[in-house]
Amino acid sequence: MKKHIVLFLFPLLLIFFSCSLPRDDKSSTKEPEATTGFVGADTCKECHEKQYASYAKSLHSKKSVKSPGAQDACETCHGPGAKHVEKGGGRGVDIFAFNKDVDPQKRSGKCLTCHDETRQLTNWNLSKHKSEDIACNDCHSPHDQTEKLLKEQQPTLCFNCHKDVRSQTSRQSHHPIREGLIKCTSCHDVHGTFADNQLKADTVNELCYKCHAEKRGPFMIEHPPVDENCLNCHTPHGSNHSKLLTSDPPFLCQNCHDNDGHRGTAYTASRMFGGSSPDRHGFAKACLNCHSNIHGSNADANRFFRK
Amino acid sequence: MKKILMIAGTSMIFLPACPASAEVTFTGEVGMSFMFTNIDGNKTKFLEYRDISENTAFSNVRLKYDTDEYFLKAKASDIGYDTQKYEFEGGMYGNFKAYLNYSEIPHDYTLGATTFYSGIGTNHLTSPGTFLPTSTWHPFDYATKREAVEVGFSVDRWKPFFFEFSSPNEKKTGTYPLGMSLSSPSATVEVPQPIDYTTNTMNFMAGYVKNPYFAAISVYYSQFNNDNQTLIVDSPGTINQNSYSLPPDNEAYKVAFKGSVKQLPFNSQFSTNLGTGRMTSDQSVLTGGSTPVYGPVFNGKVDTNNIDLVLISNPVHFLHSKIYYNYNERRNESDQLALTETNVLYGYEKNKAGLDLGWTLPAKFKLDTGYSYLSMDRQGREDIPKTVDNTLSAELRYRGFEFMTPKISYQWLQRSGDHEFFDPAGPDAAEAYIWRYDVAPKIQNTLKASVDIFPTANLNFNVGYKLIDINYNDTVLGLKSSRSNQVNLDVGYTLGKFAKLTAYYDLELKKTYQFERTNATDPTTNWDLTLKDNSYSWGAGSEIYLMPKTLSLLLQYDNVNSNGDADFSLYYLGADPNPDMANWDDYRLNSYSIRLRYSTVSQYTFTVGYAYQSYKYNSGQWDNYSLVNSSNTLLSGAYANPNYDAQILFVAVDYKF
Repeated sequence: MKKHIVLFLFPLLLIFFSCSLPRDDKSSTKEPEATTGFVGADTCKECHEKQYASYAKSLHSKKSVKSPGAQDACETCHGPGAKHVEKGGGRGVDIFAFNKDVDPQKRSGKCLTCHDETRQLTNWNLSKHKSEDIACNDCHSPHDQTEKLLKEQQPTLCFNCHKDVRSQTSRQSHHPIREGLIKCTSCHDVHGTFADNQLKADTVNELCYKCHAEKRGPFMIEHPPVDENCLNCHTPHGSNHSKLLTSDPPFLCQNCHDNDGHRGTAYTASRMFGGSSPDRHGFAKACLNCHSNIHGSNADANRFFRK
Repeated sequence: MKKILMIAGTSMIFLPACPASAEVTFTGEVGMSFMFTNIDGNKTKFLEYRDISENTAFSNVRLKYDTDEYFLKAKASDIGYDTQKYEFEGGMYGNFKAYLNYSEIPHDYTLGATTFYSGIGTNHLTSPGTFLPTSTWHPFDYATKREAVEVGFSVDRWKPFFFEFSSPNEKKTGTYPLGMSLSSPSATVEVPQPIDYTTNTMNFMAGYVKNPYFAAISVYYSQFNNDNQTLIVDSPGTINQNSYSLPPDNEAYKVAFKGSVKQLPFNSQFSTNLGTGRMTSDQSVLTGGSTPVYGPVFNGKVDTNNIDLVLISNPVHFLHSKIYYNYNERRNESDQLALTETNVLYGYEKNKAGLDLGWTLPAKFKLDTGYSYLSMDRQGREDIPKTVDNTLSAELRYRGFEFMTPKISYQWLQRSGDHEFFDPAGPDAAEAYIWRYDVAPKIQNTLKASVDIFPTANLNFNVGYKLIDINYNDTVLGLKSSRSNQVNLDVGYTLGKFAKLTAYYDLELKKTYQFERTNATDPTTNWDLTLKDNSYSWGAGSEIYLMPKTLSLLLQYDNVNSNGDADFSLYYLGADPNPDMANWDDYRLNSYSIRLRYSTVSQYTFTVGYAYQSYKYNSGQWDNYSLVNSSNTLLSGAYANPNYDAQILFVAVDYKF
């Protein structure tokens, strides 16, 4: 118990000491604010009519909150435009353009000028997306009126990069992601978390239990790999095998249970429905034909999750 | 459902009460689509997560009332169907937000299963006194439906303080295929397990966010109730009963603190996440083999604790660092009951620490390097109770080309651990040779490479490759190796104002090898299995602008293939001469669609189209499926024969305002 108290107090002490340390003002993620050279949105509109029209309808044009609309409009994000106008315009000419060739951290830095102080982006610095140089405007379009200003809806947007996941979600056993019944963000926080794979929970099981609470137990008879990590047997996005399993029983089960009797038997073609000696341990659901309470049981003498 | 619609309707009445400003907008979209469907074969897989009948009329509505200060949104889709969803959200920008959502998720496992049992959907399945031929069995569906209601609000009015509350509540009903082993007479049956689950959850978070500080406390509470704690099943052709334990009612809570401090020396940020939780369940132990007899109450109690400490620094412009530590514990403090066998309590304690360094190199190269150490101590595991993972990783990116961004990464993981079960003379003598893959020592190599190429503004390619190679070097019996090769290709081309073309190809070749023994004490009964699990999918789509911004033709083709193979080697006399199965979860899902979309200036969009989908599945494990099998194995058709051909003709109209 003492150990746990120490483990809990240690980070609090760290916070306390860190608060007392001198601050490094250079560390601010905010872009330095320019004070001169502003031309106003009406000037921008003269050339960028289409962009202005979409911006004017967007959330960012609201004047009631601290949005660009309540500040310097276009120049809040793109910077002062006087020199850009003087030079006759041009993409990125003396103006901040959110182009692909601009450093992603700088592009995100513009957004973080306002959004850094929001609870949604508190963990952005921890996120894999940041360390992989994904900028805010790779997914969001600040001029749009779409939900959360996303360039495309989920999962299409996420599949643009996560091609392996795209492939998995089209397999015969899958979570209803393509059907639009659950979203990538149902499980992942794209703006960063403490957990691996940006999961919205501290562990895989904690996340799965939110929808599959019946697996939570605690059960009297437990199956240790189940309680440790659902992904020991399941794959989350999609599988060629039923129930999102990484492989089919009996072979999946035999990877661990193979030392004698029917556990160690080779369930070959002859033991399937059409074979010479059909065997319930091999055909259809194989082991799960009998050992179906595989996630845990509160029955005594249940002979390995049989009841 | 009615309540939700009433609340939503009432909230819309208050629309005019919101202070109006000069910039009030009321926008929306109303859509109707009519589908005429024809399905040949088994409908289950086609309808797995859908609710489509022969003639279906879906309607969708999206409304938004928006002022400079207030907003109110309503969204409804698939109204009246099992996939229906309603979302209502309103609030004041930057001050507060409240929402109410209702959604349904159907899941069909098998439509048209069959059984001789009566009482489907209840917790007592009764059998007629005599065994009936399959021709007299009656059909039923294995399917579940989730109905979820969620209410929530967030308040930012008193910045930098914030509050959030949400309460998702879900009801899941239906039946699920369950395999049971019965006695008197001995039989294996597949029966419908009744699903009547209710999960009520509450989340609350309160915090402070103003640079450089962030601090928040959150509370999570979840209660799960199962209307059926025991399933009673009669043995076929008798009145002898068998009982089966169903998931117990349970509760879980978690209290957590998250905090961070930015602007520390060396451009650093310190973040922490501390959480403690508990899961509990109380259920009488099912002790009777036949009619349910209950023994002592089992008090399940598992505590979880989590600590994350992360320090991120950017001491010099070319270096980013992340030092982290994670402690996660599952401490099992449930009852240990001395019944037929005393139950074992399983838990674990995980300690993970690591360092990531990100280097900005000359010539627009970026290099990320990392090392992590993970130690797992498992409570209750007799085989390999302790493992240590050492992981090294590196990723190199180049941003110097204007027309491409290449990336390559490599990760090496070594897991070590000792097998502590040793009983050379006992009945479990072979146990010492079984190294279970979830904990077995291994070397895992992961290589990833990808390149995005965009030679012109209207053309882009993406090529990705991933190799995961795992060797369980110490394993004698069990899974010995696993290798997966993945390739993903994408191309997109925009042909001016005429067309947009896309195509993709995804490939995964997966191979596992396991070595097994039939008789623990007889090394001449060895066999091995190489399982191949190959996936191929490809597709192409186009949008052809027949009349720019007015008339488009959309074509899409998708093909998903799986090709598995079970290849045995049997090392004993009299072995099966033809053990292999060349079809192991093989399937082909073929889809194509053609749509003609016409958009008018007055914001109407008309779409007419045709879609075809076919699914062909075959596997050695399911070929020649039969309901009644030797050794009294009586199945019900779950998951069997899922092939189908489906055609859909659809017409849709959308109006935006």
